[in-house]
Amino acid sequence: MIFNSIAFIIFFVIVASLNYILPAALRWIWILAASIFFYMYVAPLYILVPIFIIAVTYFGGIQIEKAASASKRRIFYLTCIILNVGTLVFFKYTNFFTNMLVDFANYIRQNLLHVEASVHNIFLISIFAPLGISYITFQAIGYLIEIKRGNQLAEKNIGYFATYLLYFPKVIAGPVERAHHFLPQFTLQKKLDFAGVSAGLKQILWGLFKKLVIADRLSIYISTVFDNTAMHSGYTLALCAIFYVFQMYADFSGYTDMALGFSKLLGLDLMPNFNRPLAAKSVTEFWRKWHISLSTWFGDYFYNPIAIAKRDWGQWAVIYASFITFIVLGFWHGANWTFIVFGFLQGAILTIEFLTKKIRKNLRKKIPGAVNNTLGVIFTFCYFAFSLIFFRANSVTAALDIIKGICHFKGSLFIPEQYMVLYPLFGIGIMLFVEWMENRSHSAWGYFSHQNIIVRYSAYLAVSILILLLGVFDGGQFIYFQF
Amino acid sequence: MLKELFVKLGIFLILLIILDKGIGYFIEKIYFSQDHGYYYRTTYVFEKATPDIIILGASKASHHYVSKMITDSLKHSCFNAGEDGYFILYQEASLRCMLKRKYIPKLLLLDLNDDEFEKNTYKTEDRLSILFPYYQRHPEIRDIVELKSPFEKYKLMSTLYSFNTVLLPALSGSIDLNNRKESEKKYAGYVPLTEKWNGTIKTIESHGQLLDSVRIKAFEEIIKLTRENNINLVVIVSPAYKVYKGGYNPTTETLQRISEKNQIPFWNYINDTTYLNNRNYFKDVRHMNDDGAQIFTANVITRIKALKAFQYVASKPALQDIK
Repeated sequence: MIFNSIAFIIFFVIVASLNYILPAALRWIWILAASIFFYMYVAPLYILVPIFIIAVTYFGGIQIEKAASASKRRIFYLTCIILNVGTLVFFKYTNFFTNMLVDFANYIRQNLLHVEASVHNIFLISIFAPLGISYITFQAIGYLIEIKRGNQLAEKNIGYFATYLLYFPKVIAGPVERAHHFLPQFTLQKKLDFAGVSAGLKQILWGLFKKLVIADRLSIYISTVFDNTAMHSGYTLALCAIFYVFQMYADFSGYTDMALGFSKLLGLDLMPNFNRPLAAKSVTEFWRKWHISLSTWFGDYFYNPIAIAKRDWGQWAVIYASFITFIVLGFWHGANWTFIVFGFLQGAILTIEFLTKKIRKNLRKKIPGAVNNTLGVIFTFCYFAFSLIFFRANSVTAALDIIKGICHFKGSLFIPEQYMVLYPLFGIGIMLFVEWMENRSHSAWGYFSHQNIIVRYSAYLAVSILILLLGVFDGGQFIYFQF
Repeated sequence: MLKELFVKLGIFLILLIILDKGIGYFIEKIYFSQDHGYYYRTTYVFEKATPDIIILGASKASHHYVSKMITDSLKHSCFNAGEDGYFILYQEASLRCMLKRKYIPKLLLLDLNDDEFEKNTYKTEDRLSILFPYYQRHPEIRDIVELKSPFEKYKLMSTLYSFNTVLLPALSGSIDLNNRKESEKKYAGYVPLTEKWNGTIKTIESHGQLLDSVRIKAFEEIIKLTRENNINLVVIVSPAYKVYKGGYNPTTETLQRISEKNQIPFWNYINDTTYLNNRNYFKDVRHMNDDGAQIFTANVITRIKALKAFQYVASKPALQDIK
């Protein structure tokens, strides 16, 4: 049940209507019931996995808080972390690790023992990872860490806690919500007001535009090319690599806008996940604006602890922490070497940016600000586009083939139908213009929040018409649903 | 709060409906004023074409049958209505629209893909959006369009949705900048391919492939409609540069069985070595180039001439010349 499906709209109208009628104190029960239904819609049995995580984390959190001694606290904490990480690893990474061991054993047999490479992976599991498992476990782990650090009180209401982890607008692809931001909203029992509902509807409309007009339309062209890379010229592959940044951004931020919008209609706020990342002037800045909930999670629970623990190493501590953090962040996306390379590339560029900070600062003084900013934005965009080749490819070899293909500027640009490229380009133009407007006026969604009612309604109508006219209505899933 | 919300949403929806119908009206006008191009082909087949011989099919049809050769040899007008990427449900819709306007061709050549019924080749419901602009004008195809999803009939209440993505191609089909209209008229629907394939024969494993009952039903419906309207139907699987493992092909076997049951000629070229031994006849594994198409069309013409049923209807005067 994806956000842009009729089935979801029917489901949501029922949920939101009853949520509005119910007394504020009872709403969480209804939202929890809706979230369980949403989760069980595709594969009912998979609900057992989040139930296990909820039980472990809920009771574990209380025990960590209640523990009389530091050692007991540590034991409870580590047990809960191991169970959470273990669940994630079992469902998502077992095949990756066992395959790696089998490949290693076969390599030894073939090259050192000179016998047949006949080891087979008997531990291969053929089950899908439960929906949103990476998001659920990361939120659970963050919650446990905060309790251990003493920054968060353990939630006593298991219903509130279960709703926090299973909340349907965010369960599949985030944001990676923090407990201290989400849980108090149940007890505050915020009244649903017109401004909140209106903001939610605007955000859903804008998210739909990004998903249907840009992401899904680009996806048609990109899939045609990237699923058959050997047949296409370097120009086409390069264009696709550039387009993929826009597809990824429009798809993921479009999903997030819809998640935040639907949540606003239910009277609950979720944390923002994007802050105009395509305008970032460095990769360091980019990661402060892209998938914010995940990058701040990694910052708080991974990067900072490592950098602090290794502070005696001086600047090497920062480099070490960057590499480790981004490799794990890459690997979080999926059990494939491509994601590890993606993470490594981020770590590498952040290290370079860190080491050249002073030189770049001096250079900036000599170059006009506008030129410097433009070059920074272009470089950041191109670097991210390059690293996303690994993110998109099925294997490192396939990614390297695409890069090799790009380097051979031979052949012609593949454009089967002009509108295949023109429509999404038009959508990208509008999206960038709106983001530029937001940046200028410091208000969300440009003309959607204009003071003049005619301008405002014209903006809603224009976007709605463009969705109807140019949107792809039988497009696929959101990219981040697979993680 | 609710009152304010509903009032504002109501105003928004009313304005949206007005704009949807208003802008939609102009796009509809542009769409149906095309006189050449990709989408015009569909409008022409659905609403205008009246050749003696019509070829229905997907891309293999459009690239494999040289209409002019057929017209010249058989002295009957012929139009190639093959449409790239649109399969048997589209052909069923074409036939229904043709019959609705009382157009009865003397001969219908139905070219089907060798994997037409296999579920994994494409999703049946994904290929129906080309029919959206005709949903309101042609009630006879509505049930086909509604196969796409149970909500489609509600979505198609929006005129803009009905003409989703077609604006630019429709504009280019209305303004003839490259003299495409003349060239399309000359070829009468045939789209020649010029490149030559330099790859190897593709081997296909079809064991265990599931067949789509919706598409098989569409094939049976086409047979039923042609029978009811006394149309001579020939089912053809034209050549492809591929072989099936163990000679097993569930689609052609199904076509053979249903055709035999209904006493319809079924011409299967999928294992024909005249083509398999000549890579130069192909543009890729699925499509022949112009050289191959000429050889193949000549063969089809010979076989049509030998058809007793066609000899009978052909003895009557030709219906109309191709428009």
